[in-house]
Amino acid sequence: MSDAEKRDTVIIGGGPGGYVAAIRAAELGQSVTVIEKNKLGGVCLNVGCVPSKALINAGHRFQEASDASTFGITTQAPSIDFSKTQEWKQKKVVERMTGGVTMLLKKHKVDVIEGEAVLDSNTKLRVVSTGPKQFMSADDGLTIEFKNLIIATGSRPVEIPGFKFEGRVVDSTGGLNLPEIPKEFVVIGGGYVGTELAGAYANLGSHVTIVEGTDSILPNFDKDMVKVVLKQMKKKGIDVITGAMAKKAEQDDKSVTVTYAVDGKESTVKADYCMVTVGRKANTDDIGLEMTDVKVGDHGLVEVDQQGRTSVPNIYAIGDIVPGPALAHKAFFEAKTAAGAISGKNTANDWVGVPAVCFADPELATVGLTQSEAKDKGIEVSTAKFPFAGNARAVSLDQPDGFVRLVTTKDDNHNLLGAQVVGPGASDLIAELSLAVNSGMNAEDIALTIHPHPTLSEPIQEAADVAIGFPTHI
Amino acid sequence: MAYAFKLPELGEGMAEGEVATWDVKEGDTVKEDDVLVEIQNDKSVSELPSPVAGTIKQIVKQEGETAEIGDTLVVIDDGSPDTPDDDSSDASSDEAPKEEAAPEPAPAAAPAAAAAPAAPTGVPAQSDPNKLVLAMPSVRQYARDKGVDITAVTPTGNHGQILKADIDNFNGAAAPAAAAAPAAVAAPAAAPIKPYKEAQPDLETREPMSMTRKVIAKAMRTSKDISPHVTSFQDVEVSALMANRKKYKALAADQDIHLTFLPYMVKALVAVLKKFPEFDASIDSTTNEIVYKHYYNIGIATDTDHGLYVPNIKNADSKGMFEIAKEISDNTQAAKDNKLSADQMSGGSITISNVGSIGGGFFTPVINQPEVAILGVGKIAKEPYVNDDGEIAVGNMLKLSLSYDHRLIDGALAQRALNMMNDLLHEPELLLMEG
Repeated sequence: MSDAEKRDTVIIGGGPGGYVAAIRAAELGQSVTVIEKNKLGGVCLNVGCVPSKALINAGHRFQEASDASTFGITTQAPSIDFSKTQEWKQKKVVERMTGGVTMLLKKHKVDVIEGEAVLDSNTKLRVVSTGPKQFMSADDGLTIEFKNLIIATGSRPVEIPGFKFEGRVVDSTGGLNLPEIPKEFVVIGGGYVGTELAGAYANLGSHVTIVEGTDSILPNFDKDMVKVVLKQMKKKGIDVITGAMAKKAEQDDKSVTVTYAVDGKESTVKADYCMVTVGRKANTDDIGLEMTDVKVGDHGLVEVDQQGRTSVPNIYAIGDIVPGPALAHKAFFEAKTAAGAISGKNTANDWVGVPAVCFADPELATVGLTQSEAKDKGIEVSTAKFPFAGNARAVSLDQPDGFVRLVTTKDDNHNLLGAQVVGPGASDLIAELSLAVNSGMNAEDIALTIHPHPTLSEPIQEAADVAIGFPTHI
Repeated sequence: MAYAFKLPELGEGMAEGEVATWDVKEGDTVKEDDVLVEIQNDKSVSELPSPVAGTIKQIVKQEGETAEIGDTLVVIDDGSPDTPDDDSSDASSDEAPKEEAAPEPAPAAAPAAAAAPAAPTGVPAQSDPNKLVLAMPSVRQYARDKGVDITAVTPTGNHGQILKADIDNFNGAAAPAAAAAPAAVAAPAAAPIKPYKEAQPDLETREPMSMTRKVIAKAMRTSKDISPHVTSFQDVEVSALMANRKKYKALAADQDIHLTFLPYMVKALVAVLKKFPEFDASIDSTTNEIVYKHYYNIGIATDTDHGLYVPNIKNADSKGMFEIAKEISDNTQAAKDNKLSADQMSGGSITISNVGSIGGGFFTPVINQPEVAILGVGKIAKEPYVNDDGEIAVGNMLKLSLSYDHRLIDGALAQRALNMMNDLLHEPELLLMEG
């Protein structure tokens, strides 16, 4: 076996968790190595959050160009060259952003090694060229002895029986990179990813069918929020089939036929493409964790303390492979915490709430507790709601659907425990509420903060007025 | 296995103590119940015995250092095999012994507990992770940097917000004190304390305040902040009292008892307290209630060369004059020997501060919180006075100064109490009737 190369801080994975950990660790004076087997930026930048936002934006533009009659604007039916859309998405969005990450790592003198890392022990790993594992030998590749390790290997789409990812059956990555706009598009799984891309393709002109296993799409959001999205879906002609068990997909050269069962009764739907987005699986099964003393819990998630430290004190784990929502911004935070912990800083993953956003039509966002989560925890809460219909800016945008809701303690303090937004700009509006929740503010603090008029932010202040019992525009 | 010996609770409301003397050093072998350390806790000194037998591995808190309850004082190797430490409270102290904090390879068979691994970390454990903590993220970070368990901090901000100052105050001031005396806490914020600037550095020296001095300083400041003090003065002609004492002094001495004037004061005060219950009371300002005490524990301020102590004579109403005299002597000795327990100094009804024995006259004593009055006893001076027959005579005049909390006691009431003291001490036979 080749001699082990000694390195300080080694990070497996160059996604949102890994590259941010690398930058922070470098800023704190550590000598940092990132091992990435695919592309810097990870799923998020390459085949996740970012390219999906590009497609969603293209969909909105196409919709606006198609019908502006509300505003008295008459247009010709627009056409779309989807290969150009894809090229823009890839070159001007994805590659620009991943190029930025490469630059940043270079600037911070982070050593990036291309290849797949496999742990050998609590202090050693091997880097092998990316490829089928069975060709590896003990002498293959580079052996690194690390002082500290941050595992940030992320997650991958779950495959379900009967829906092997090939041809016209695609995962979210395939769904983002379709060569054409499907006439018929079936989405199995109506979570964040499925709902977002279903909306994007519907806006681009596809007829979309969502097949969801539970009794509602977006099961992580409140029912009254989802209702607003369903109303829009109905307008766009998206078929939503809930309580449906996806059975199989059969494909030929031209189409794929999806069979599903509702209450035991089987139906089929024929489509150009079928995208399966039923969840993600932590990438912890293939990295040699069994050779270490790192403790792995349920669902392949690594058990960590408040600083992201695993049961092996010099090994940290962050992002999708640890418990909590699998969201890039959670990984960012955990990355800084772990990098700080290695430098002896008193960092901790002690957020009060992690915001979650879904770029549906309209957007949904939540932070902290929902009313039902508070109830489950035995906390008595009050809720205060303000509709976008009462907001001049939303009305002038012709997007008056949705509301802001604050969840506060039931006492006179009205301490803010959580907040939800469904409506225009929800993804940006939630940032203010995240600040308020994480700073321990109460409804009065928000009510006494001037919000600019006329903007979409006003319903937050208005909801706070409702919470303290002095509503203005309602 | 390393046993971390932590500062236990030593008395009601005591949050911290100063390591006075170590009776052991690192490397010493100790038996169970051997005295390890003497802790100066507010005004008492406690000897702490070792709960285990073993070898002193590391002394964590050095002499002169202050430890809070739960802080590790010493690590004792008790010789038993190492087991994973699942006591999460260990991490609550950033001064946990290095042996415990150093990362050790986790055992191959991880503990069965489903919780995250109890890996070593500089971040203080949260005693109540489910508690709603309202604090800015930067304040949370500050708490971690200070090693403070933020869930244990008493908030003073609006709607229960924990402020940066609350983290600073957490170490110094115990939470209950802050709760009982919000005014006292707020005051320093209004007028920031400036460092003392030397006027003539060559002719000035600095010495750290002792624990006792700090406690006295804080107690006096707090008392003046809480209670609006008024002091009434009274001359008492005590020739009869002096005669009485002279008569029984020898008898007391036969029983090895030193009969001073103080037992008379104690007895007279018990009678006054029985007649005027406002003087045997406290105010709970959090509820705006008056707490009347149905017991008579009379405190005697005791001066020693290492500070001022106030042990009290418990249930003085059920004790005879000689018994009280003996107890005062015993307490004085205990105070001088630093042997008073916390219990002996708490739960008082009213306090007597006696400066007469060293020649003082009238003065304005500061109330011993949470009591509401204090009787200052001055010297007995030969002065002209008009006797009961309307003649100028030489009287033996005792100087009494009664400070009282005007929130509860008004001037007329205080004067009536002083009048009764006057009667009882002027005609000590009355003590037989009322005492």
